[in-house]
Amino acid sequence: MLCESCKKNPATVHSVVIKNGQKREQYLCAECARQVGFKFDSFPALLGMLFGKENDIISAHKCSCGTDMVQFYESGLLGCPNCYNEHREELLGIIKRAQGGRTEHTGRIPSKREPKEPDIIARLKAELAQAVNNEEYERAAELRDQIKSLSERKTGPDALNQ
Amino acid sequence: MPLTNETISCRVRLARNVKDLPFVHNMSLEQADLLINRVNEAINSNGEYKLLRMVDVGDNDRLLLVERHLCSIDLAKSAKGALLLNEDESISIMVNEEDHIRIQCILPGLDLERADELSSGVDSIISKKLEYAFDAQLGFLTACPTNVGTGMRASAMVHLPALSLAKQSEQILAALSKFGIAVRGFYGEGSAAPGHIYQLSNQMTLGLSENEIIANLTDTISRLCEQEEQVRNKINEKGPVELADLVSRSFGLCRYARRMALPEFMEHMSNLKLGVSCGIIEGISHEELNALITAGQSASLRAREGKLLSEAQENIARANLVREKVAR
Ligand SMILES: [Zn+2]
Ligand SMILES: [Zn+2]
Repeated sequence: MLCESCKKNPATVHSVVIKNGQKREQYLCAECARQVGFKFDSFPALLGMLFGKENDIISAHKCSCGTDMVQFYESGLLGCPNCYNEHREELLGIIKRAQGGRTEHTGRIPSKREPKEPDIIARLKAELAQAVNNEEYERAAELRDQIKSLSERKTGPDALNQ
Repeated sequence: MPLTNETISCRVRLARNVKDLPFVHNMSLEQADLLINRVNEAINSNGEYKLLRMVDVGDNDRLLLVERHLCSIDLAKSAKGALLLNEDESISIMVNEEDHIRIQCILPGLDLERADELSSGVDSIISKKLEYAFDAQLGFLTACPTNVGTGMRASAMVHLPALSLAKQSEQILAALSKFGIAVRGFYGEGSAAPGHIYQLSNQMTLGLSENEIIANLTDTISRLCEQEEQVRNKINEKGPVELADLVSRSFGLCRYARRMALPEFMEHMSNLKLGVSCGIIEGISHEELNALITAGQSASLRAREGKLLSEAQENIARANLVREKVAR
């Protein structure tokens, strides 16, 4: 998107001006943004204060889920888990202030997920190819048996019907 | 049960989100519904939990869940939301509240360690089936960035009548925020503290381990309860007649009143609990009074009466309940 003011440079800044309850949004390049010198009058400033936002320029960058930082300041909520990657720097500042200066998780981590059966079979098949390649035929036979029994278990009830 | 006299109940809540979906406010109804099924399949294979989709639950039943703190007001109002509730109601899993999954364990007394054990047990079962949004630096990712890290909110409902009588509670509770503890009233965010019951919870979720959060809160509440006991004893020593008078007046009203509004009820319950702690009243326990506090709330009364009640009818029903439970 091009800057709405000079129509030359790419827009990198999402400006939001609230005047008399009317919201005006503009996408500007950094240079034009500086010239306009826009300010939050009231409403995002309130949320901004809540999150410790000091400057009045917000990046126009959108996450793939469609959420930009203006929407975040309005709602206090992010759009999707990936927003943390897309808006990382700005969020780190907010998080640091909210968490008494801390930015590193030191607690538990999620349990390992149980691999689904197709995953196991795919892994065994890769191992089998490797074994054949290395001419480890005994190992290959073992793997072939394991794959066979896993595949049969999956189609077990059908096999009985035949 | 440790510190049951002052601590009515405690709760551990874990906020979790799955990796492959937008956050709840950004989800379609179909996605929300699908997630409910995924969570239900992950945790409920042996039918241990009752699955309540909020759209299928009647108005008063939803309020009842909120009153018993099993469900937040936001979830109760949400068309996307569902609640998974186990038999003894110690575990409630909110699906599609602000976060995809909020696992709650509520226990009587102050036993946050046990509540942590139970909720993290559920958490680890779910996390074996669903891939959580987790960041190596920031921990569990949440819809609001102020909950990241452990995603843990530990809290307790603490009854502090003596500190309130001595006009010390506000000052002491205000000072707690310096130690990373937030204070709210009985009905949650932004509410006053009827019955001198306060909800204390951890403010920080990142950079502390779950055990540290729980140890910190437990320690603070234990010291608060000690202070409450000291002040209670002092009040009892200085003015035994005044204290006995306060408690006995409430006792008398509870035995004979025919109408009782909610704020008055909460005040009497507080005075009766104070009376039990000081040995002024016998024959009723803190546990029974805690249960009565829950049963005397609006939605619980409506459920007991089996019909909608006007405010006047509700006050009569409340007085009837109180007379039945107290006048023995
Ligand atoms: Zn420009
Ligand atoms: Zn996003």
